[in-house]
Amino acid sequence: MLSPKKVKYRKQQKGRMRGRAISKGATLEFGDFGLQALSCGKMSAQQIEAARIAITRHVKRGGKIWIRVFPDKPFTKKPAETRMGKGKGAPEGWVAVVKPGRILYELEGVGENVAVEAFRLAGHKLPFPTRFVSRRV
Amino acid sequence: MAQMTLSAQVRTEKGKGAGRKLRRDKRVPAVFYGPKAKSIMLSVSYSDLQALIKSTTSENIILKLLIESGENVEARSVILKELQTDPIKPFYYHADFYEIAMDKELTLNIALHLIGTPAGIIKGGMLQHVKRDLQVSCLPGNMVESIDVDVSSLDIGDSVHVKDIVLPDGIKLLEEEDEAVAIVVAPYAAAEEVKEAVEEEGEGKADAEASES
Repeated sequence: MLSPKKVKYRKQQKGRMRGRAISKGATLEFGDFGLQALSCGKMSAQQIEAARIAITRHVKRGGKIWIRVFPDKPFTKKPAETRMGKGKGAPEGWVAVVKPGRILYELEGVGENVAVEAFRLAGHKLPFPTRFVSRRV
Repeated sequence: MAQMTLSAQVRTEKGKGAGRKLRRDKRVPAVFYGPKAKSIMLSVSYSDLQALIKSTTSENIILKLLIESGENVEARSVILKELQTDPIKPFYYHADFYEIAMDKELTLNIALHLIGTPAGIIKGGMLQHVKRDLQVSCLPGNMVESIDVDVSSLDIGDSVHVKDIVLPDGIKLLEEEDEAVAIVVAPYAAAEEVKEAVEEEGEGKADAEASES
C-alpha cells in the first residue's frame, strides 16, 4: 500500500475539496491513455492499489503504467462502541484528495481497446465517476 | 504553414463579473501583450477561437490578430501563448496572445511524432515514447507543426536520441543531444506483478483464517 515514509504531523484536519484540478495533474504527461476523475473525492491507498491491480491484470504483458496520485493525507477513526469526545481518534489510513479533472493513471504500450477495458475495470474500484482520455493526435 | 486570422474587440471592463458576462454572450476574455507592446484587454468570439484551434494539430499557433477598437482595426502578428480551458468540459476560459516579430527567433516546443512500427515490437518488445516534444529556436516563418521521427529500424534495446533527429531547415536545437526520444524495451514484467498480487492476497486470506481459528 502507498503511504508517506515520514510525516511532520500524524493527524490532519479534514479540509474541503473546492475547485478543479486546473493547474495540476489534469493533462496526460507520460502515457498515451489515461483515467480522469470527473468529480472530487478521497481515494484511499487501498483503492489506488485495487485499481492498479485491475489494470495490470487486464493488460497482462506489455504496457507501462503510471500512478499519478499519492495518498499523503492521513485519516483517523475512533474505536467501535466509543462515546463521542475524548479527543481525535487514531490514524487509520491514507487518502489522496482528488479534484475533478485529475488524471489518476496513465498507460502506454497497449492498444486503445485494451486500455479502455483496463480503465473501465479500474473505474469500478474508485469512489467517484471517471472517464477514459487519450492524446489528441 | 498558412497564417490564420482572428478578430478581437477591445474590452474595458475587467474582473469576475465582466468575464462571466462575456462568456454568457459566447465570447472569451483575452489579453494581448508583448516585449515592446502595451498590454490590451480583448475579447474574442468563442466559435472563432474554437474553429482556429480545431483547424490545426500544432500546439504553437501563430496568427494575425485583428484588434478592433471602435472603427480602427489594427493587425498584429501573435502567438497563442496560453489558453485556459476546463479540465472536464470542452470550454475555453481565457486566451493570451503574445506579440512576435516575424524577423526575430522564437523559442518553442515542437511535438515529436513517431513514424513506423519498430522491428522490436514484432519480436514482443514495447515502444516507450520518452520525449514527446523538443525545444527549438526558429523564425516564425520556419515553424513546423511537428517533427517526424522514424522508429521502424529499432530492435529490442535500441533507442532514438535527440541527436538522431533530422531537423527541418532554419530550426535550431536547444536541448541536450544525448536525451532519448524513444526506446524499444523487452516486455514489461506485468505478469510477475500480477503473480505477486495474487500471492499477497492469498497470504492475507491465510492470515485471516489463522486469526479466526
